[in-house]
Amino acid sequence: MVWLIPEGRLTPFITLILMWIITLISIYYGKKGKFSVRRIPGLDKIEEAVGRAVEMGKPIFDIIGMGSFTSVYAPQTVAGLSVLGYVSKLCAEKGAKLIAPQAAVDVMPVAVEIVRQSYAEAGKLDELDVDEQLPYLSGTQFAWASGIIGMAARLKPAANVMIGPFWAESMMFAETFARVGAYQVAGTARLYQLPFFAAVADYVLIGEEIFAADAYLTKDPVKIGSLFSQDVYKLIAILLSVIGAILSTAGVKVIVDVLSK
Amino acid sequence: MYKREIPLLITFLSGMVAVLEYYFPTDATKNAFTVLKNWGIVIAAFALGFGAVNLFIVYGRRFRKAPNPVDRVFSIWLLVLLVITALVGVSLSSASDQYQWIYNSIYLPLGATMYASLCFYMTAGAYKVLRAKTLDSTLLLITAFLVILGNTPLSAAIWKGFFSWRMWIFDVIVSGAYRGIRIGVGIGSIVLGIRTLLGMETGYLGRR
Amino acid sequence: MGLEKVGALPRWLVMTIVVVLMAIPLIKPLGILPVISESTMDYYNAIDQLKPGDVVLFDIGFGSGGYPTLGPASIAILRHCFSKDLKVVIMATQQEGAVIYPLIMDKVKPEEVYGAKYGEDYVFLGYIAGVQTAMAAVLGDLHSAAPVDYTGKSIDTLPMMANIKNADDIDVVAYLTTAGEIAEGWVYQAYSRYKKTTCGGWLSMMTPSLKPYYDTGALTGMLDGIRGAAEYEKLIGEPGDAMKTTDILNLTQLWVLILVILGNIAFFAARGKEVS
Repeated sequence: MVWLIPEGRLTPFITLILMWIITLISIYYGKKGKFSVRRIPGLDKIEEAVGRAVEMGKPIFDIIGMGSFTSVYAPQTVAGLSVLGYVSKLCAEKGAKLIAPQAAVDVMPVAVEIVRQSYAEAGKLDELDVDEQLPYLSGTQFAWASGIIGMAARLKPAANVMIGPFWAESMMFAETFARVGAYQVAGTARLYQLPFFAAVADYVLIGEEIFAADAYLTKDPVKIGSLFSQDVYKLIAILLSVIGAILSTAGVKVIVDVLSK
Repeated sequence: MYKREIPLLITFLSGMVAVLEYYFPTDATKNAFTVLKNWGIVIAAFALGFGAVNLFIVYGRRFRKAPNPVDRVFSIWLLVLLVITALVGVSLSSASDQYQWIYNSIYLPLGATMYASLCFYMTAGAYKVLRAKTLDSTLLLITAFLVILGNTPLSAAIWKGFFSWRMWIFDVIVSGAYRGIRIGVGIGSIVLGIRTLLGMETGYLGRR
Repeated sequence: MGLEKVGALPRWLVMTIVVVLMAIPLIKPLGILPVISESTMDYYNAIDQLKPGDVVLFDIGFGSGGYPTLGPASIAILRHCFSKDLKVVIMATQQEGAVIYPLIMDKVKPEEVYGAKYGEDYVFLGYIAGVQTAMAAVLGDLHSAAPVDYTGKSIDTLPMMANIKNADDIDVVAYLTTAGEIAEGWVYQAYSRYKKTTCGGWLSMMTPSLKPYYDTGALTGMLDGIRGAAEYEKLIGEPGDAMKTTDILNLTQLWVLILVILGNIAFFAARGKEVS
């Protein structure tokens, strides 16, 4: 089978197999409760954000970005949906009004289902108005952005949770919500937008922290186990980088050659 | 079983087809992946219709019930433009002069304006945020100052060193940090993918 | 007025000054020429060293949002290509790229200025969906990936396409985009797979994340936002919208620097007052 693998993909294939093995081992130990997760302040503050919305009697926004399930940003969209599930559960329990505008037509039914389930579990399904609280705005960037900016300016929410893939509209959202006095927790793995969130939002989730959201919020030992495997891979990446840099500087390109296979 | 196990099985099989196509690009895997992609395009097209219906529901209701007359005018205007653009695009094609006119006169200026409005957001953000309150914010301030100086053609024309500093910050500090975050993001995405294929991540099914 | 008040200038004042500073260069251009960066020079050289008849695959990977920045860059690059009698295969991996194309070509005027003929010297394949899938398809078998051009005409009937079948027949892949996945996609598909000379351009905010591809040699040249576009216009000797825009960039960015200084003066003045 190996000869079927095109050039340049053998090392990634072997790496993927090893990642599967390490992940499964980590999940096994995770189920036994061997691992714990460090605090991620941004995720802790989400509950505070919902509480703020309840106290002030104003809505809370949860924006999951414009990504769809068929794009390369699907993992970030899934991460955003996990957080939406958590936020909607809190909103249903505490009585905060959730507004979660949608941009991707394939993601919207899933988001609606998640929020409906949260409200149903809290016995408050009749308080949810899907058309008003999860409106489809637009699939195009600036129509979507101007829709949300308009909603923020009109509704003056108490808080805003933005976790998912964002593009240029990130700065617009962060600044607009800051201007209306909203408490903001923002996170994205789209690196170009991180500086804007870091500068303006109250709490930021950087890069892969958004992928840890589901594990962190649900405290599911299986998912926490898979987080440990991420740390293992990062350690391997650091070691390879350091050793590879030293060897390359010395003119020994073995690591580069192996990784290029 | 049909609510959970069957969707998870479909997810697993679809994901494995994609993975196999990448690492073993034989005719069989390529054809299977092409079929999946085509199904995805069809589903996306259906979903687009769903989005259009939702727009009619939301803005139709707003037109009927919004207390503010301006909201009602804009709601009906949105629906009118939606219908006109769709009709022109479908009947005359998107390469037609009429569709081009709609795009060039309405959409392009609006899109460019929204993008350009980022300048105002960034100016306001920079004014408010770049203050030496803590060590972190001081470092941010100094870096931002040097990068803006290097980015401005005028200052680079006065002294080329500003441009060199900017490039050094980009090449050494920013690239290094971005590469680290990028590796983390890549690893996070892969593990999320593995969890999804194993059925541990069910967020996309609408279930927590 | 206490110094701490300069940190709380009214928003309307800050924005009005931004608008005024934007308007000044439109009325009276400052004419400050940009310093040419190495990355833009490399992009320029990658195309400049081609011989008449060589083929450039040019991707319009942006829409209305990116047009003010990358539109002038596209015009400059295409003018360069036509001035060197290169064959240009234009495509769009972004949906709106197909609608941006006529706007760009109205300004390039290939027939009037360069005597180029559609079908013989350049062709536009239209929007090809799928990003990396589209790129792989075009580079693998162009005629299957795009059997018709944007007008619906079979590309087999276009004279220049007789000898342009796949990546082997393409000399340089050049693109401009606002999407990271398109920027990286061309690196993976054109450079990693076929080792083609690949040049990319994008918005300035994307540079920190994408510059590593240029640093490692995956990208031969790089165009950094409106500044890169202005540099390219200077290199081809045809000042355009990008050079005008850099005048605006000069004034507005200087104003941002002034605001940052004022904000910090106010912060320290307020802190000094608290301490005393």
